[in-house]
Amino acid sequence: MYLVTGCILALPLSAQAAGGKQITGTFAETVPVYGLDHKRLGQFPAAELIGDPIVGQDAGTGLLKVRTDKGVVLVKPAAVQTNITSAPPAETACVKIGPGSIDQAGGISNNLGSGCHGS
Amino acid sequence: MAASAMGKRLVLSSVLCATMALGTCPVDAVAKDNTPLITRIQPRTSYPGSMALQDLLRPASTHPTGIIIDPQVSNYPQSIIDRLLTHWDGVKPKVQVFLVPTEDFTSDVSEAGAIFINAGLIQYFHDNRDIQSEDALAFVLAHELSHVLLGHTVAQQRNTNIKNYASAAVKWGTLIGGAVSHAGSVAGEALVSNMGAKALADTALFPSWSRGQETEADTLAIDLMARSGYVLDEALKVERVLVAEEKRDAEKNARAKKTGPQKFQIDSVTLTASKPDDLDGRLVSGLNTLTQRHPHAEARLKAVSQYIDHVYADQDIIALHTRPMVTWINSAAVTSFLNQMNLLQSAAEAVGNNNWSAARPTLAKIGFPTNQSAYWTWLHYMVEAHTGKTLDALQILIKAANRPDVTLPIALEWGKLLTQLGKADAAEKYMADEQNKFNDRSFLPIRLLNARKSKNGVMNVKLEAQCEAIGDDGIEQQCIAAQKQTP
Repeated sequence: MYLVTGCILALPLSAQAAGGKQITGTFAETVPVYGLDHKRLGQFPAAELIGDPIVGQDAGTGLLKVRTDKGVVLVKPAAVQTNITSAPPAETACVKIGPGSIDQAGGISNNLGSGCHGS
Repeated sequence: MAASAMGKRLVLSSVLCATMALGTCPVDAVAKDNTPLITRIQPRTSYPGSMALQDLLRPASTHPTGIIIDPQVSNYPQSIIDRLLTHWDGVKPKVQVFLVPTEDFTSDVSEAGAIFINAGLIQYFHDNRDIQSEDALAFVLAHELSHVLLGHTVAQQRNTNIKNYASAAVKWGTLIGGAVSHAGSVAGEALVSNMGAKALADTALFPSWSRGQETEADTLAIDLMARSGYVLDEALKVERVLVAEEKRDAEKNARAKKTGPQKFQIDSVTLTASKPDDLDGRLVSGLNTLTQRHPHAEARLKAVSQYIDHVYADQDIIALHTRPMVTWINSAAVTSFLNQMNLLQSAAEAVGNNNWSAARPTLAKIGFPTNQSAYWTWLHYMVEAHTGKTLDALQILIKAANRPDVTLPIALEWGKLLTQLGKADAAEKYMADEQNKFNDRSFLPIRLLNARKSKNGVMNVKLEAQCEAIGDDGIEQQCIAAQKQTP
């Protein structure tokens, strides 16, 4: 159904700045950028963006604030690859509280994490 | 037995053959021609009609946790589902949102099209401000809705059967042993360990959905969000949470590998290899290596990003829908719900540890509507039954056994009790009925015991034949054990 059609431009891992959030790659050779007023500024070459620090997020729209050589611009998150991470969800405490289904593989059913209960 | 074993070999052989061509990481999923998936699929022309709650909830009701009915909490996600469906061109399914009292960051959808949101997912939205937008929750719900619209739920029972065969194979070693003897060499063993691991991970062991189905649901979810005016990039925040979770689980598996018996854990599946040098050990090792090299969540994050970038690059910038989410997540109803979920978990842990003196007061602190749920009822029953309050426990079980949202443990317990009391006809009728409603054969060993106890030879033979015909070694062993028990 789907094939790889686009190229991916990416920053070598060794070049990624330690600690700070930054643009690590793009999915195209140019990326649309916007001003802080959300007006489109045009297309930036990927090479100019890759490695630039992400200095925040626009509260009203979720766009990424990126500091470039030409100043801070806004970029759509899906247009770039980043090293942004999220907190993992809390670990689940598995509690056995009774008989589970012997008919379900490994005690799971339907992707509900409660598969560990009673298995 | 021979026929069913052959059937199982064919299932695994076809699964292995289907994935033989996949020697490398899955390719990134990007639309071939940049047109949205929603414009290229044929909508379903019909969906299941109205059905009893027990049928709607299957197989979520297989677990003691069941569901919580709390409209003050579920009305908001339900409204998001309704908004997403407004822009669906085809026949609209009737989709209802239910709450599940477990801590996992997950959501799911049943064969009949009910959508489940776990308390753990709501808790995450509550605790993490950066994800607090209706757009992010819309992605979660749109993804589950997409499984329904794409017809994945229809195929779910088939996935479940493949999954059951594969997991039973790993657990009991028979099928893998058969495949290995067929391959006939050390190379064959390696093949089963590596390619078999990939086949299992991709199609069978991966909870409910294959990776392809998950990618497809992600894609259609983006299309539904776009039509509904949601900010598409918020989907990436949800995917990043899954990436973080997957990374943490992989690190945990790697640490556990050094210290204890070999285990493979993904989502709620845990497989333990009995002997590290045996085929089971190589298969578990292969699965761990596989998931480290082909992290599914990372692939999904990349695929969703690329799809949005390729297909919706020109979408106007729109404002996040933050306020309704913030209002809901901080409401008294949600705050109370989350508190009650924490108490339920504490009560469950106390019950799990046989700490009845702690479980009882914890359960007493839980109010409406949670104290009307099947989960609370089950925990309450366990406390009463284990603290000598037999009559109270019986009263609880009598009412619980016929609830519209009855869970499997409650039904099994009622079947056992009726058997013990010598109510043979009532026990057989109830369990046969529930086995059909749950589509779960866990009742078979108890029904066998009931038939032996009541000296019903005809029923005994019939049930023995059912056990053998399943071809699942696990259930067969339980049936054999039931036949050896003194009635």
